[in-house]
Amino acid sequence: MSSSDEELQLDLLAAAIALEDIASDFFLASQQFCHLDHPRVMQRIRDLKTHADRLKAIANEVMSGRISRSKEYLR
Amino acid sequence: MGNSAEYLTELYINQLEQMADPFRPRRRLQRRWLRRVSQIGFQTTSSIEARYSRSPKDHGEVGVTSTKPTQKLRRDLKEAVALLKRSGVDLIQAAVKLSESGQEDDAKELVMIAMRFQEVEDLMAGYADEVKTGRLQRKSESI
Repeated sequence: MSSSDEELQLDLLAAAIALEDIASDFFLASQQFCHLDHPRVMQRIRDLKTHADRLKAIANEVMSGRISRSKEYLR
Repeated sequence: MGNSAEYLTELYINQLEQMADPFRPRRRLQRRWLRRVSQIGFQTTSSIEARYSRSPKDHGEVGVTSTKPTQKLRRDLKEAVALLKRSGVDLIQAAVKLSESGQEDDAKELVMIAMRFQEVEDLMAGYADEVKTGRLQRKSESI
């Protein structure tokens, strides 16, 4: 795996972790604020988890070589 | 409302302004036009296709034809960006409410978290653009 691919993989994993962090923050906030629309918050948490899993899958694709990132832009 | 509450409100408004995309209806029209052209079998020249597949803010970039898996990759990345953006705005909203209820420290912490997500959001948006320019490509079959 080239360095640019490694960078991409790490960034994708970082983004997936960020999405999971937001999901847990939302969960904590939903416990703190009673007036929140709980079904909507739960839906958002589900969306965040789904997208985090999707980004992790993309990171795995980068590792397996299915997704490649060239060093320079094709112009 | 205190100074920090005003600051948080300003941040929230900025986030909302970033979310507003004045070119969205135009792009939707362009996509519909391209779909229609492909349905009726009209031969589009590459220059017309490149012109209509680009957003106005990407003016000057060369349009690169991409495969379906690559297009899906871009869509996934853009969806992640949109989700991060929406969630960041919601976190700022929660921070404003915390600030109004006097929990300044918690509010500041939430704003810091939202700002950190902004960096990741920018990274993902950059990668989505790289897919568009052809730097990032996804093969149709796994190895």
